[in-house]
Amino acid sequence: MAEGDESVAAVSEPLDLVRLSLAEHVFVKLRGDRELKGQLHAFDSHCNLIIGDVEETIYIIGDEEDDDTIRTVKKTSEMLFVRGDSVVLISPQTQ
Amino acid sequence: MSFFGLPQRPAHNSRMPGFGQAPDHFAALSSKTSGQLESDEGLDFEDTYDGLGDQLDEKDDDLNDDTFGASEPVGKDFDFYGSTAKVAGTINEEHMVFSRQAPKKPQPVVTPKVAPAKPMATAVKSPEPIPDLQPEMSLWNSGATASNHGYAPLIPQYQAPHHESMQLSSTGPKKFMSLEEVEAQILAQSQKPPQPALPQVRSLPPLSEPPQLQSCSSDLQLFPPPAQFLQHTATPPPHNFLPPEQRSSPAPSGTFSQGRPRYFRTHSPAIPTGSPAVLPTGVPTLVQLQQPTDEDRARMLEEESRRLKRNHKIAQLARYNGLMTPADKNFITRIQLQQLVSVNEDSFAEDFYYQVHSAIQARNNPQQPLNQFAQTYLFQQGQYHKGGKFRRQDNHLQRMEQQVQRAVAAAKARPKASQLVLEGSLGKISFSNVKTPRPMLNIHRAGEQPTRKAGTVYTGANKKALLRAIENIYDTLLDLEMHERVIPPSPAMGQPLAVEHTEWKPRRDGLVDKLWREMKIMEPIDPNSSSTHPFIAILSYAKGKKAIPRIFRHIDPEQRVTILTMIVVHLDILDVVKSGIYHANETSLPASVREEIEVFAQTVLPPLLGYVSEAPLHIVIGLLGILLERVDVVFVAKTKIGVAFLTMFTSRAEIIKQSGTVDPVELANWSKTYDRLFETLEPHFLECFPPANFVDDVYMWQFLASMAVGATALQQQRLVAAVKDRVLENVMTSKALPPDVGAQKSANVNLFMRAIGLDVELLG
Repeated sequence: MAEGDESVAAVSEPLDLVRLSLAEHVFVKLRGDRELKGQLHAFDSHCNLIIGDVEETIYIIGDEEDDDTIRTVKKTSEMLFVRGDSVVLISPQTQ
Repeated sequence: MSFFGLPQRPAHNSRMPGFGQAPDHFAALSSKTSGQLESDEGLDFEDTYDGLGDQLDEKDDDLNDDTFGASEPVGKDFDFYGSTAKVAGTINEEHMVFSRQAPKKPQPVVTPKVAPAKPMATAVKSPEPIPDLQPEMSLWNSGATASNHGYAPLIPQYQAPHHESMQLSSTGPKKFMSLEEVEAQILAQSQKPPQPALPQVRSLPPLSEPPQLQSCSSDLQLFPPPAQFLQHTATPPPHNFLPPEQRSSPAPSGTFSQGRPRYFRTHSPAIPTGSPAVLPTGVPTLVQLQQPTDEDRARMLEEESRRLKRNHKIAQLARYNGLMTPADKNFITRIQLQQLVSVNEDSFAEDFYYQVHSAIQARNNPQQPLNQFAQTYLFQQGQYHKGGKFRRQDNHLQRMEQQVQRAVAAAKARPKASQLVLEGSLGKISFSNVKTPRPMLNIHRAGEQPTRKAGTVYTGANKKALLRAIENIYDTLLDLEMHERVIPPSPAMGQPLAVEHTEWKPRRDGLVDKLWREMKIMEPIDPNSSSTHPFIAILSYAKGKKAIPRIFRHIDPEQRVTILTMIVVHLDILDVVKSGIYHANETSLPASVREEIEVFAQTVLPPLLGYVSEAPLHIVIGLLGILLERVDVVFVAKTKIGVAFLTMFTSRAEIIKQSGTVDPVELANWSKTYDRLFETLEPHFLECFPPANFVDDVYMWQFLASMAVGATALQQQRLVAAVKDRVLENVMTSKALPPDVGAQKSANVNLFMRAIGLDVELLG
């Protein structure tokens, strides 16, 4: 029980949870059907992120009207700055 | 009056409070004045409040015409002031009437311009103090008792009627019996005054006389001489005199009608500076009665006027007392409560996240959650109101706050335990709170308890707690490093330590202590635990590893050896060792593992090595002993990090040995430990090498070299025999490789060869 209390006390604001993922691998979902996986180096209160060794996945729905197929484009970057206003969620990545 | 073509008067009157109220106001009054003489029974003050509103709605239109002069064509300039000015006289008059009847408005409205109002100016003013009688009564009484000796002649004048009326009410006090001889005389006198007194009340024209007065004067019929009653009101009002509704509540109507006549009698003399000629009623009789000396009279008058001044002052203060009935108050309270509630919602809507955030923060400390929660909550409410327009509610709010606090206190006072077993009851009574809702079912599964006990878990061993601990470590490290930067300059010779010095050290120690706690290294080692020791678990994170060299800078040798011991004891479950072993058919480790090993080798090993390279032999022996005792050395020796630890100990021991300043007992101990290690590892030397030739195996050769240096001749032979194949293999491949890589490889082998006095070159 003590353990549970401690972790409750440790998290006093939402970003404290993000803080626990510093230097860890995270999964970041962005607006515009994009996802990032990489090592979280830094973040701030706007959810601006610095992510290293990033693998970016972009989901594209077919160009035509009735084309519902989804194709993905993957990119990798050594280091990325992600502006916070596009961040939808940040999650610790389970490997 | 049509504004932007809106429908004319009806809509205008009923919808717009600003317009509708003023005329309505007077309309109601005028209707009242017209009907006042007859229809007073139904107009109890409490009823007036509600009935007024009804009347207003009905007579809206007609009265508007009266007020604004509707016969004129409606202009577009909306000259409200002008049209109001036309009826200013009427308004003022009515206003005064209204303020007389129910003094809700400030007095200054009475303007000298208005002729009819002038004679009433004093009359209007003087009735104001009506409601409050109590203070005066006490004054009268106290004055009477106090003046028993000095003003004996004066007393009968005021007390005798009182006494009589008291007799009427069958509560006659005994102490006035001494004055019986004057009683009849006074009675005869006091029967006359009603004639002057009542006309004065009546002389306030029909216009001004409120119905209440009449109803009360009809009450007065109960008492033979009205003057007696008037005087009687100066004494504590016996309740059985009052009409029922007045008895229950000190409503203005009762005190109003009773108080005013008395006031006229007693107060008006005081205004013309107490000259006896002007005294209308009571005082002339008094003069006749007492035949006072001038001195006595002057004193008495002074006393009287002082008393009257005080009465007047009190009356001024209490001017509006009792205006509101309990029903009114309830109504207002209800409105205020509603506003309070809606205001709460507003502030939550405006900055919801801040409110919730601060509420949560206030509840951070579980020890005193409720109190703080309430205080924070209410504090914010208070802030909100102080800034806003609801200043007048503050008093009320304070009361609300106190109520909430009381409620919280009461909640706290309830039993803390979640269950209560009452004597004689068949079960347990469980309480619920926010954190532990009351369980509706309380089922104990048979197998539950044992399984939980089987694997004891370290405190704070779950992932989030570990990550949190790491963050705390870094926080403390940053604090500590910041603190180190502001170290005050050491004082000059002979000077005492400055305040900064005395404060700096304890603070630093406190921070180091905190750091030590956050590392969770002092958690007792539990061999039965199913989970990893928290410190070792912290080391499994890259950021945990990276903290170690920074931590080592601040802690003392004792703590360093503690860390080293802790790692050594858990060497086989250290993540870099556990996952750093090569499995069958595996030529290289996963990238992530390699990375971790690299990080460990670069961050954790150097400070440990730095400590060991200065450690005395007995510590090295002790650590290696622990390693042999508690850890699977063969397993550990198959990993790079494990071998690095072994190399660290053996090489340090060898260096100490060669320095020649060693206690022979310790030396013997070391030999024993070394032999044990050699015996344990001898069959496995080859397995300790990494599988592929392309993996850098220099650490292994370093270890073999350190082993070889300390080995006896016999052990050296066995060592060479054990690793001979690997040596040859390495030499062969080094020749096949490009010169620089090959040279590196043979140099690695040579580390070992030279330790046993050989050279790769000799192998040809």
